[in-house]
Amino acid sequence: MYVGHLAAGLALKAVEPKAPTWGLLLAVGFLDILFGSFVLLGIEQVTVTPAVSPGFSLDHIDWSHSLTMSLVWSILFAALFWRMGRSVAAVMGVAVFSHFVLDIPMHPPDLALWPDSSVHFGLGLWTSLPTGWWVVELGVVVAVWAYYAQKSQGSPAFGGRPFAVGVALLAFHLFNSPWLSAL
Amino acid sequence: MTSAGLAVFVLVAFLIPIPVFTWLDRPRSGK
Repeated sequence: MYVGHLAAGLALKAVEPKAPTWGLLLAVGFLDILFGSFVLLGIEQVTVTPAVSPGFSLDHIDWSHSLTMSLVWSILFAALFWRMGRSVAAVMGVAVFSHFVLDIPMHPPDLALWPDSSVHFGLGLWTSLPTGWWVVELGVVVAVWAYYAQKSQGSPAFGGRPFAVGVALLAFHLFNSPWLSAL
Repeated sequence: MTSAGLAVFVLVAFLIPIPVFTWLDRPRSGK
């Protein structure tokens, strides 16, 4: 999942408007930012598979994406925002962990219980629905955006341009589509 | 694309939207 994570971050802004938007967006992508960094450092492994959906095989992503490490990263990330208040810290932790939850339907079973565990999670829409996953994610994005747009009505704290946010989400989702993605 | 290229692609894909949506999410002035 990609844009679904971003939409989740915006929905969490509606839940706790005191949370900084940049922090929430960093939080929802944090596991993948760790993943990219860990691959470059040789800690995690991925193989590019151009002819097979989704275009890559996540061979070992246990340090960024296992259930246990997702909880650890969520707690550590939340701690960074503790000085902004308990509710802001909590929503930051939820934002980080939402990444793991939203990845479950898309990923094949490559989400480990803990690093090097033999237990893995993942319902595999990326592989079982090579193009249909994009429609499923679009549905998630539209539903979550509708929640954000509804909550932004009349709020003095955020969401001044919900329609533009929706257009931008759709643009990023098109960029990640099976037909336009660089992968 | 190499695995390192994919890693950089993922990093960029998640970092670029942060300023974009932070800017779009700001409240309307005078609201």
